[in-house]
Amino acid sequence: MVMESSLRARVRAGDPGAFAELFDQYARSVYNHAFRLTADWATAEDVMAATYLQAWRSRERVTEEGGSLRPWLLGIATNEARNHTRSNRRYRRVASALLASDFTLPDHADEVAGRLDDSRRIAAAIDALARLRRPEREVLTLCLWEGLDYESAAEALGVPVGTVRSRLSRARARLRTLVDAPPRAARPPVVDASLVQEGSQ
Amino acid sequence: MSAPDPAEWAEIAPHPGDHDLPAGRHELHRSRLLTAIAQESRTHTSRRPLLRPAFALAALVVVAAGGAGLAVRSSDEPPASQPSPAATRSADRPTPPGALAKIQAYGTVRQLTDTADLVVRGEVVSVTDGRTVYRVAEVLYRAPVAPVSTEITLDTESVAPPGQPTVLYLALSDPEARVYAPLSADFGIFDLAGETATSRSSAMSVTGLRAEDATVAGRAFVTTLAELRQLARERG
Repeated sequence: MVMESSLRARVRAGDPGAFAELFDQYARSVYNHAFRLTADWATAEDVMAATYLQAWRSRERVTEEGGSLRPWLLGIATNEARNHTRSNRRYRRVASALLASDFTLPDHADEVAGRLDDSRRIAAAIDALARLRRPEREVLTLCLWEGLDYESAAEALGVPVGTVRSRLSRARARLRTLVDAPPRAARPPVVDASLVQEGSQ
Repeated sequence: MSAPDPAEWAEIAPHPGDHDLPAGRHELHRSRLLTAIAQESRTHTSRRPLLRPAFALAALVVVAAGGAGLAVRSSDEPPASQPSPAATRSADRPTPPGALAKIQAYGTVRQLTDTADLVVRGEVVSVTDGRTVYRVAEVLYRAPVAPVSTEITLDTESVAPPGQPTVLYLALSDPEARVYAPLSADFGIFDLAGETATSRSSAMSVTGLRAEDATVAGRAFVTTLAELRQLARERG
């Protein structure tokens, strides 16, 4: 906690070394979070870069007391991702393209196996996310995959804790319905017409 | 409970795994971020009042080294950090601000580069009897007269702790003994953290890469190793 306080003070003071530390510690986490919210690796890279620049510009909002700055960065990344993926329709289109694409496979057999597993995990996750509304998607990625508690997620998103809970609850109900209803193989395609019409957000 | 139970979600939303950035992209984005920060810092600082204590100290160094440079040089001995005669003969070399003195103020990395006999990246191996053995990992620039090997000797003890990566702008202070010294003490020393290069001292620091920026005087200058390499290449 003392180290975090020291880092917070240095971030707030605009110490470039502190931002270099933040980058080394959390760039990977921000990048993965951005990918889940954009369904595109190249866009995720842009979002990650924009996140750190925005963090620098808003450094004076960091208080000197508090824990890890990762929730703060993930909150900024969430906003930046919204700027890239403005509507659910767009997210689903990009997700559909990702799921339809062939993943580039390396030559080595072991790596191939590993990459295939990776690909399946990514496909399953993006497929699930594409079936949610954006606010639900954001809460799910923060709480479930980035491991933030409800309070941190609420702070990152600028919403009450109760809103985080209710969005997560809706996400679970929606995904549970999809899992329980038809067999997985018979699931409708990710860019289902009714879902698309349901909502750009 | 203040967080969801992952076991509840394993079936309906499996964790997608975490992935690294493509090779080299972490370093690239980090370097870009620090460059952007340095640029925005300069812009921001230019709107502040100038005569802060740190600025006044840096100004004092400039005055001592520039306007009253001869007063600083108190004996006939050659300055320890002065570039070698061979290096200073170059006709096309820009003259740094102020006359040569023990502490000469350099305004830009370009001035350091154009004055140095040797620019190297590496780290201190050992310090003995007032001299430092420095291991060279990369030569960014070398004047024709400057000898260099994997280890060089520096005529000072205060370059950096052993193992700390640095970039040094060096003058050949003793050609026969092949001994170097950093240009103007801390002016010629940059500490490295990954691809980020930060001037050793805030008071004895350049203020820009190619052009001076008096509004940031008194602060450590932050740039990237790539920029230092580029300027070294430009001297050729």
